[in-house]
Amino acid sequence: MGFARQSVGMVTHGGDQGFERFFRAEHSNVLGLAVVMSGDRETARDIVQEAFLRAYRDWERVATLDAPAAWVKRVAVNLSIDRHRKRDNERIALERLHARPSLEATFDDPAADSWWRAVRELPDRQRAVVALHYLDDMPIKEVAAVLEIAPGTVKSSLSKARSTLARTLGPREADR
Amino acid sequence: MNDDELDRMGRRAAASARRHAATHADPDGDLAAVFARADAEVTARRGPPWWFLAAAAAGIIAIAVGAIGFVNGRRDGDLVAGGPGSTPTTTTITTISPATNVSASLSRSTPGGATTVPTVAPPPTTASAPDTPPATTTTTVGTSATSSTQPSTPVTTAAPPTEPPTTTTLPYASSDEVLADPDVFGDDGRPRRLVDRSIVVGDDASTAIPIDVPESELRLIGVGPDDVAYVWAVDPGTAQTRIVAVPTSGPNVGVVTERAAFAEDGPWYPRMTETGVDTMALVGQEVVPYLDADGAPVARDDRYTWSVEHRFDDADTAAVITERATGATATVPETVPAIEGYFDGPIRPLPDGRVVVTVSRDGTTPVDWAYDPGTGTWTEHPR
Repeated sequence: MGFARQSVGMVTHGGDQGFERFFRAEHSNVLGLAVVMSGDRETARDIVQEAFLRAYRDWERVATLDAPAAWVKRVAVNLSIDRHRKRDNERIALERLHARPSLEATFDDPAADSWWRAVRELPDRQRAVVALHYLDDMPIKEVAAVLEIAPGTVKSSLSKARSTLARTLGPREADR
Repeated sequence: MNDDELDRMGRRAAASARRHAATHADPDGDLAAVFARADAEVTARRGPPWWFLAAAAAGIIAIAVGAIGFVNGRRDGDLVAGGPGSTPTTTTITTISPATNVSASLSRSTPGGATTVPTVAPPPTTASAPDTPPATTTTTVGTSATSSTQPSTPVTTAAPPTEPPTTTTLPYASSDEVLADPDVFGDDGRPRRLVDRSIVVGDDASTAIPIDVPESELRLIGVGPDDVAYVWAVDPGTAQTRIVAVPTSGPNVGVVTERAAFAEDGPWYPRMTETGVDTMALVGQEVVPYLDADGAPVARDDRYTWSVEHRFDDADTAAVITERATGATATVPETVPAIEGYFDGPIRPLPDGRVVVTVSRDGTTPVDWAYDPGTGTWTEHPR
């Protein structure tokens, strides 16, 4: 489905079609990333829209980047981290009121639920590294490029994350 | 849970998440939402629509007319004096109430009974590049610097999450951190360790990769791209020293390739850098390029466009940075006492083009200096 833009003023250069193609090619990938990072489908959708909106606002520049998809994923990761912190605060407040939010996305594989729940308990950087590395099957160098950190930092973060996951998931899976 | 089980579970979870995203994705809805939000921002930036302005103008005119009437003492409903001898008449202006309640017209009822009120789009924000670094400053020194503060960044109503509050922390890993956290991790995230004369992957002793070299003293320097480990090999008898590359995965696993040889032992400080193994010494320096899994040198990362050299004389060490392409140089304003272990190697520019060099003040306190090639100024960032 194509969208005939009835813009009220947004610059509608030839890039609109280019943006739409880019959007459709990357939408599912960014959504998956946002879902596993945020753990909440509606939040993830909002993150996806916001990330692509930022790309659209600056599309003339973003389109010329070597990897526009990496740019959007970086925005999505940062937004997810931001929302995750806010949601943590909300969760704490709700728990104080003896109520728990039931917004968590559920997957078709119980092991995936356990895995991504454990991933979301990791520190921000480790969470982002694990999500990109496993979800997109992304090599270290690409993860480093997306997050704009050194490859060595990605590797050490991944190693620490794996140690934590092995420790936390081992007992959980053993309980199954 | 061992490494293989962890990887299997991660792959399963990733596949499930991809299916989840594919199943629940609504690209048409999201794309429409993106365009709608973009248009709302433009509308907000443009100001109120014409009909709103027209209504406001009409209101202002009406008020003005009323005010004039009031000043003239001719208020609605008052007795109006006619001409001489005329019969006084009364004129009444009736106020007509709007047919619909204003608040009702502005809100929409949902089937569930809840009322939603259209939200006003937030004011437009500047294009938010995710790679904008925080602007933090304490001192500025340089040829063209006249102020002790940097220009402030544009204020946005919805700052990108990559722009944390003002801080003196720079978004990069300093050389101190690199040295404190040696890069011994492979692309799979598992650490490599030197156990006896073998490299072991993770904690699994069955993965031991023997290092077939004659030297008796070995040290693991680190792991570079493609899981290739770099080992420092020394023969204490002859003081011969070599750096050898040993792939720890792939088809050439365990195949030893000499990368550098030194005629005499010395106070070497090999360390992993972005482009290769940097062999720092009191005199002389060499960056040994990394190899890929097939044994070919790895191309240099073009992002590392600047190099740094610590030049020392009898008293002080000055750090000089050089842009590879142009040869342009700049000297860090702060010198430090002559020290061993100076280095010459690549440094990575910040996303905004600034370049950072760390010096050790008083030999203990690391201080970051950021250089802005555009203005030729240095900015100090204490930690």
